[in-house]
Amino acid sequence: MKKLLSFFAIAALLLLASCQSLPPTQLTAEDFNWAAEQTINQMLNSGCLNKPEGGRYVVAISRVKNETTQYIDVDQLLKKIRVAMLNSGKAVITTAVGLDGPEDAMSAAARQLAADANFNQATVAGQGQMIAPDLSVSGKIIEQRIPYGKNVQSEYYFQLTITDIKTGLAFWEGEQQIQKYGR
Amino acid sequence: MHNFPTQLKLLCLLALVTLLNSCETMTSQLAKSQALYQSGQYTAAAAAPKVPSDPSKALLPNLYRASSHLMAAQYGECLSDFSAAEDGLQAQDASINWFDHYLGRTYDGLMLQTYQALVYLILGQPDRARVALNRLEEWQGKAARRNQRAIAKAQEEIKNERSQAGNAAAVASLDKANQNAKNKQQLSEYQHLLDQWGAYEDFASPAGSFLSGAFRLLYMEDRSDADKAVFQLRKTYGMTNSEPARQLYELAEQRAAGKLSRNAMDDYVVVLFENGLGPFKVERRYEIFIPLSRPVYAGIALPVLVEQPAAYPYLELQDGSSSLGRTLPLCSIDRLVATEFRKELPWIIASAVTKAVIKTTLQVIAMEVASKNYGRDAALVTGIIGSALAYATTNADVRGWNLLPKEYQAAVVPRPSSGRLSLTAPGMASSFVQVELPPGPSLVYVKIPVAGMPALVTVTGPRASAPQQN
Repeated sequence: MKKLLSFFAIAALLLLASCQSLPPTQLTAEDFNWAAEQTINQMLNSGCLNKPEGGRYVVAISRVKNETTQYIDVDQLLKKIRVAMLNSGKAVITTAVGLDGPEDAMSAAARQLAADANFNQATVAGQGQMIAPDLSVSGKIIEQRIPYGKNVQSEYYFQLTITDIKTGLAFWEGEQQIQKYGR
Repeated sequence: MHNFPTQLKLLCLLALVTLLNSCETMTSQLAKSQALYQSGQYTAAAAAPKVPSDPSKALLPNLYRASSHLMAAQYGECLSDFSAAEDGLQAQDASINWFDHYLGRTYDGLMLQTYQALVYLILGQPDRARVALNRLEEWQGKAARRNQRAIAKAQEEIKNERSQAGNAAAVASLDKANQNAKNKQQLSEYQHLLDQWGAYEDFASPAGSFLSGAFRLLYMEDRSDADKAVFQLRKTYGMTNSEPARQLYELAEQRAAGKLSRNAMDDYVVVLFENGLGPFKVERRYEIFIPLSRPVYAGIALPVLVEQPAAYPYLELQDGSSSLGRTLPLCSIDRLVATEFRKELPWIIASAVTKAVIKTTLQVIAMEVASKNYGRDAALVTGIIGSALAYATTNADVRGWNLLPKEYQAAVVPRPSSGRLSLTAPGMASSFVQVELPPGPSLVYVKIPVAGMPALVTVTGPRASAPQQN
């Protein structure tokens, strides 16, 4: 029986390999969502966001490097991670710190009101009130292509790293893999 | 007698083909676009070719439009044209039909991705440039398989041509013509015309590899960028023996080995110069001997590469009045085109000879039948019509992306202390442009298709605040 199953499995693979109308090996929205959700669940289930002394971590969003042949909206991936982190109640995201400057410039802009007599100065954000991040989130999406005759197998790796900013040590790392076979 | 209507049908078919061939609106649109491009009217050149709805057929017009939009600094339109051209290449991949329309060559795909990466860098979108450069590598990887499929398809077409001739005499004369020593010698001489053009490694683009390596070095984010920079620049240097490739390769090696600091590249400016126009294909006619009952010569048309001039011999790079260096040859597009053209030659020749010999033999048979059944005058009329049709339907495929540069030159020079880089060239009265360099590493991209015509000069870098264009 096992031999028969193996035979059918090989035959199916050969049939697949000879098929001209295979889809391209590109990531679909479903693939992307699946990989993002798996990575996020892995991160939340690992307990890495459980602060020993209680409270919530302040997280800065770093960068996700797209090293594939596909134009991917990495902000979409980052948004999913942010939403999941916030919803977990274990972390907050800072928008005042970013690699290319603050994501939301309003935190700095609002402080300019300190020089404006029209504003009640007790309500103006002052110096020393912003909170520096404890952790940063960065990632990479890598693609490896392996040709098989006329077709190709693409392996996509979604990698996520949480770094402890004080020590520079990787706090947590996770990876999800997606394989696609096509032309 | 019963054979004559068959021959008549053949002539009618040839007449139809002639009629179709006369509708060369696409060819004339592309020629117009090319002429406008060469005279520096880039926006008009982009508007000249109409784009067919079938993406496979729209490849060449989209490439012409993209090149023209690039020179006109209309980057959004340029990217949109390149994206449509890429769709065309992918559509062709799914169903290669070499004889129906222009089939994108490997260098078309390589240059298309190189340009997309450059445009994204000009627009300050390095993440998208990275993807385009990854696609360039992917395209290179699948080029050999694609080429094999295209050649197999071409061979199949030639085989079909033989079987569709439906006439043993025509096939027999084809075999004799192929074996004829005089024909062999003539066609061998034709093939040797390419000897002067040199060759690169199959399906490789030194310009693309150089850009990929330079990008990873200048925009380095992590260890994998350092390794890839070393790999790509070593590959470029290996293929070209070019001095700028060697300089950048050594810098990448030092950076990867941790001997250069993260900011070390701030002290350098990389200049990439696209010079002149690449080769055009023109048609050249040859006479093929066909050993029939009486010897007959048939004309065949074959494409020949014709070299175009460089815009300038090099660019001189200056900081004020002090020289920083000059651009040096990096990659010859002439050679890149010739490398692939050389691979196509056997089937181009086989196809031309097969068509011509079968067509001529059937024509001779038709004349003999006409003479036998209707007299000499009918044979003469058949011969005249047949010859006229044969001449009109014998064309070489000279289509191609004629707006590619002749060559790439490059330079790796120290950053000018003034922060401004002046560029000039022999034959120019003074500096033709001065660019303000952004902080950090800089990539200056210059494209001059024809001397004296408007040039494209851009400067970009990882720390450039906004896209700059002079």
